[in-house]
Amino acid sequence: MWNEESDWIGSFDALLARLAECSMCSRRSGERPGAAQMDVKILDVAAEGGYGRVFRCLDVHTGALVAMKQITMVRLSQGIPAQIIREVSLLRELHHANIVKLLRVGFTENRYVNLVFEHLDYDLHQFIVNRGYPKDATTVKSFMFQILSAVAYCHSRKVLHRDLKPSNVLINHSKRLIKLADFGLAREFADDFLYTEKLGTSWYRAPEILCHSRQYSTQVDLWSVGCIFAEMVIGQPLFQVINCRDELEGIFKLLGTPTEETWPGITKLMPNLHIYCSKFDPLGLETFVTDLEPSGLNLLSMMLCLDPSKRISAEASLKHAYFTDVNWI
Amino acid sequence: MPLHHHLFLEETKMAHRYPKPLLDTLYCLEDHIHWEEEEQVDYNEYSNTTTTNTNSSNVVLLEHDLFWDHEELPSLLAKEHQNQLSNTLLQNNLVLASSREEAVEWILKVNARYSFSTLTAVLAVNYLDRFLFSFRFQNDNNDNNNNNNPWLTQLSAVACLSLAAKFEETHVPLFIDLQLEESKYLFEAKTVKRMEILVLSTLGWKMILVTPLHS
Repeated sequence: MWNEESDWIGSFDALLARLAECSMCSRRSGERPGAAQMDVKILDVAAEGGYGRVFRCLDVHTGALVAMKQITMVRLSQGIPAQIIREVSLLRELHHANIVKLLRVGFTENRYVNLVFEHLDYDLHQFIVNRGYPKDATTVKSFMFQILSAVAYCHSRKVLHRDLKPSNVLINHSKRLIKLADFGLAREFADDFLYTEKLGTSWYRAPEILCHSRQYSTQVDLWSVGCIFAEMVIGQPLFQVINCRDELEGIFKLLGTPTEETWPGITKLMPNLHIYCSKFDPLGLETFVTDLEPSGLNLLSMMLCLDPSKRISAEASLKHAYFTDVNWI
Repeated sequence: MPLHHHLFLEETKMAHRYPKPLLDTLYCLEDHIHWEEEEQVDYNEYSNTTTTNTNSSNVVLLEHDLFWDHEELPSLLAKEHQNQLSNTLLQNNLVLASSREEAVEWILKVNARYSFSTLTAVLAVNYLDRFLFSFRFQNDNNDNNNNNNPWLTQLSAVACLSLAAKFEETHVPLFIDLQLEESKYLFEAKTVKRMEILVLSTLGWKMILVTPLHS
């Protein structure tokens, strides 16, 4: 028995060593640790999060700057995290100028998954915080057009992002080029499927998700884009400004408590809606989002529409009057 | 059955409008659905819920087919080409064909047990076939290899079903729970994880499958 087991393990390891070649990378996993295996030279740590780290690196072959996202596989009992499988699979299918490019994927010592991406200078959150926010109306419009182009493309490929927020919008400084990133919560959609409830940063979360509906679709991304739009204009998160203990309370305070008339089906979705009834008359977007031209405010109101079935789509947004101004790039 | 009726209508309609590979995809899908239905009959405690979900889901999805965006078709066909399977693999290796059959049967049982979607089962079997094909291709000169490792196909099945469930389902059982269905081997979590890595790398992380269920 001892010999049999030992032989089995040895056989399996030999098999793994022989077969484990990633077609996205010509090298075998496990041959060399860390950066060398991924053909990059680490320069510094660009970011750290619950998932792991992002390193700024040089590509050994091209000399180009790249970003390597190293994710720790902490829970041995569950194997490869679902988020990684989705992010890589979906990014392998998405090719668009405004979506970050995934260059290669590899494993280190069965403990880390390494994703090598093209490098961009900073994210939109940093841009807003460090530079006061893009007061230039042209920059806001350009950024919005690029974000919506990427979102429309994803939706046409039946992919929801589900975690759109400024820190997942990357910027190439010199070109003022926008790229969406972090598809760890993204997934393909079919209209009748139920999806997981827990998603994304709360300030950017659509009301139908906050109502604990598990039947939602592309409209959740448009709500998030609307929140980003407002944030670029006012310089801070819209629903942070509207200071409420409850995210949904903040939304209703701004836009008014929904009724069966304004949002058909809401009483079934939210049996406890009565808590909010008669409590809020809408403050209105104009109260907080000043300095935005009328057509921009109109577009924003169509994105931040309570009823998802009436919310504007990404594709329709691109045709909105806000973007027909001949003076912008 | 209503399901076959819909499929028949779909095939009749498509026969006049779409190239052959698509019909092949439908035939392949039909085979999988058929297997699942057989398995459901054997598990009475699950059959009502699963059957209802499956039929409802498929009927709805097939209705969506009627409104296909024509721009999607070239994109879907281009994807399909990448995922074509080889029958030669199984014809030339009866031992592998037998263990594959067992593995597929196991996948369908577990799929039904946890009420996973039809798409999860389709994905899992696709991953398994592509992986076995790739594996066979790399070991074409060593016939003994498969005979020496009879556990490999079953381990591949566990890894492939786990990956499919992670991609498609909201909740995924632990590796141990996934292996509650009877099989000759019970693999440790560590082992399944390493096989997951191998499968992902071998398939080049191409885990999105084109089927009519995606339309």
